[in-house]
Amino acid sequence: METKQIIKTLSFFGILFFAVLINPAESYGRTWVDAQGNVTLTNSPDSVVVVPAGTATAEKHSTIYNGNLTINAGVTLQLSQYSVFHFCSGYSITVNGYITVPAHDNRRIVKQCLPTSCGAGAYVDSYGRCWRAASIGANNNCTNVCTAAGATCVEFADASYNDDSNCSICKYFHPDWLACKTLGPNNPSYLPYFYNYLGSYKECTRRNDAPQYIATCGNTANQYTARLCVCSK
Amino acid sequence: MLVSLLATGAYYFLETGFIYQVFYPIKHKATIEDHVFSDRAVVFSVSGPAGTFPVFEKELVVDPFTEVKTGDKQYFSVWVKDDEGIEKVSAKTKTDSEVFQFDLYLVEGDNKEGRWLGGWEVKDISPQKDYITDLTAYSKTGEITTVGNSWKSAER
Repeated sequence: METKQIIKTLSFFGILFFAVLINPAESYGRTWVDAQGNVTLTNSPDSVVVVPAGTATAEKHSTIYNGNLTINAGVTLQLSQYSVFHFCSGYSITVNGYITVPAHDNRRIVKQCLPTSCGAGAYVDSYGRCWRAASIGANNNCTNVCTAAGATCVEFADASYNDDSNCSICKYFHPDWLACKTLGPNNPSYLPYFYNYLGSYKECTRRNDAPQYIATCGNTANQYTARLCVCSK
Repeated sequence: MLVSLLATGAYYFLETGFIYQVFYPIKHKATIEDHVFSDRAVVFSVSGPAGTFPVFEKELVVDPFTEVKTGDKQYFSVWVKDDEGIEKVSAKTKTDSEVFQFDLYLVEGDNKEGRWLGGWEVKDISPQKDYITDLTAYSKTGEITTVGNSWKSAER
């Protein structure tokens, strides 16, 4: 056995010894469901913070950050599958690390708009606040969208490849304890119902013979593009 | 034990610069390039800090992401950009008792902006548990950046 291989083999047991001493197991994931106040995510104990519910495949629950959010370098904020992420306007988000979002769930990123203007496409929650879908497409960058909506910008990667602008598969979000209902451009209930800052929702799928609408969102050049399918059941 | 610890130090300096590696990589580039993502793959949109390099961008694909079992060949695909060029991209997964590391291969684009793909054979995991894989890009100028991904093992 050559020297290098011997060293390699011996180091295996050496590091196992260290691993047991220094880094006991059970250090994976954390739970974030309702963050009130400023939050800074650091890479201790983990390099990845999964929201919500501390698991990468969480059920359909939502997360609210109601305060300034800072993601330090070396940290990844990973949105779990089937979750909804809310970031309240008026606060800043600083990304020195990364945010990763399941691509087909990009449209589930929503942000709070100015409470005085709940226009078409916005949703009023149980606290009287307005929420607007803000899925970012190829030709409307986040800054433009957020300026138009009077919201704080959260920059995400181009999501055009998963935006279903034709509404070929049209679904919307709905409180999970209520039956799906008829929706329209001014009556979108695709966002979760909130109580005490926590939400849970289900997806409703439109009937094949039902009309459907496409919610649009304008940028600062008054160019409106399809953003989110708004369907009727 | 003392010999083991000394060997660990030697290995650290001689081989990798990382604390520990056990290689179970999928080594052949041709095998990597031929990989077709399965229905258990999940695509993540990636958003990183603006104006800093290297930077992960566009998308990160983890296959399989769900129901991961021992013996699965798990692949990671990620886009990386750096104006000065990327030296290498590697992945590190902390399992129940070990740390596994493997390199990713450039399979699309070039080393200034390209897609890197690599994989490993899953070992040393327990049912229904979350694990983290850190992907690190090294630029030719010595800068590094890391994006993590948490994935879940199967029920059994």
